[in-house]
Amino acid sequence: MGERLKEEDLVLSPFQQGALNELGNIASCHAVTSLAEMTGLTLDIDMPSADVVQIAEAKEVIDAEKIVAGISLQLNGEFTGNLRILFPVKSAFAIIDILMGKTPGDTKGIETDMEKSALLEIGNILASSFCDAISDLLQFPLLPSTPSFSFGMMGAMMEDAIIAVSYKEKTDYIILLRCDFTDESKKGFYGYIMLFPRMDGLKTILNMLDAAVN
Amino acid sequence: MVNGQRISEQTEKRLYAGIGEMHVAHNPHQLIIMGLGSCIGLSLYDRTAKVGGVAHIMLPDGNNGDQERSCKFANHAVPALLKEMIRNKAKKEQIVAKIAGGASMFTAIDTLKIGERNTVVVKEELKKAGIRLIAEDTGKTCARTVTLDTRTGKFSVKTKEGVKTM
Repeated sequence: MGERLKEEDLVLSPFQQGALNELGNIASCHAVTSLAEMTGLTLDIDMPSADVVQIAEAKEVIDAEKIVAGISLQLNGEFTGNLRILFPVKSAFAIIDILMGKTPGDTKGIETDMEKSALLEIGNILASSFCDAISDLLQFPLLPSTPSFSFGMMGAMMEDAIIAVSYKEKTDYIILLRCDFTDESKKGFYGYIMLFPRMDGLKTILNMLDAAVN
Repeated sequence: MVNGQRISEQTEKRLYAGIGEMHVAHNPHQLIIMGLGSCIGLSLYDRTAKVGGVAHIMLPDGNNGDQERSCKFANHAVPALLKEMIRNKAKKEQIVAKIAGGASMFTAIDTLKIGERNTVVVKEELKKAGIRLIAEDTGKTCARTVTLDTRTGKFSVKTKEGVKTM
């Protein structure tokens, strides 16, 4: 274990910042496109962001108490990380309705294994497209693990991801690549994709991005 | 602004503790930790002095380095919060503890069992410090938001099922 990572060690150059944003952008676009194709929704993505976030303030960048259906996957390859795909309750219900061929509004809970599997499968497909896009761009394999499902507060899911990527590191900061998506025609459908790269893999990503453009 | 300050001290404030942070406050403030997953929300309260403190503990044990006020690790957080309580005129013999959190959000991939280990270490540290644990709501897969009311010492735990007060 090395020295404690300080904020100044994590200052990204404008190029690195732009490259990480773009990486998140391309990967999220792929993932959201596959979701749109599967569900028939017209999805727009908001400007994706890549930020250095202080762990103590991490829950301030999200709505910590919002109840979401969350799918968690580990990404393994040249770098490792934790991918979270989160849907607020109503949006999760809407996806289940669509995938299981129910009338919109039929799903009122996520109780049965069928409902969970539907969301896990969505997570699988989104994560695979997300990883494929990064693999293509950086020319190395990046594979998602089997997905895991949880239903609860967004803050708790974020906490869990932060622990997963930082528990071995001496760091007070994490990197968060985030993309929000919505369906504007069907008011109220939205979701989030969040990538937490493991801190020891951040250098690898940045070096590869350097190599990819030079 | 002596007057202005007195008013602001009496007005109820809501103080939020982020991951690895702690807050100690006197009556009538509210101390809140939002969206606890596998982390532990530790609450200490002295009913006579009406002083309360919360810590948002992230991991069981580790080296905090030079950050004295950090509450990231349970082995450091318990003595640190206790010290801060006593500095704020709480009496050690009157302090009681309540804890919540230590859940396992994603059971299928929870190989580290951080929540479980957090709970064990926090309890051990409390025992070592000689502080009585009088209520707990830990484990399971549910996320929790906790609030310590420093007027009464009531510790309320909110989950998606509802609110319960301990």
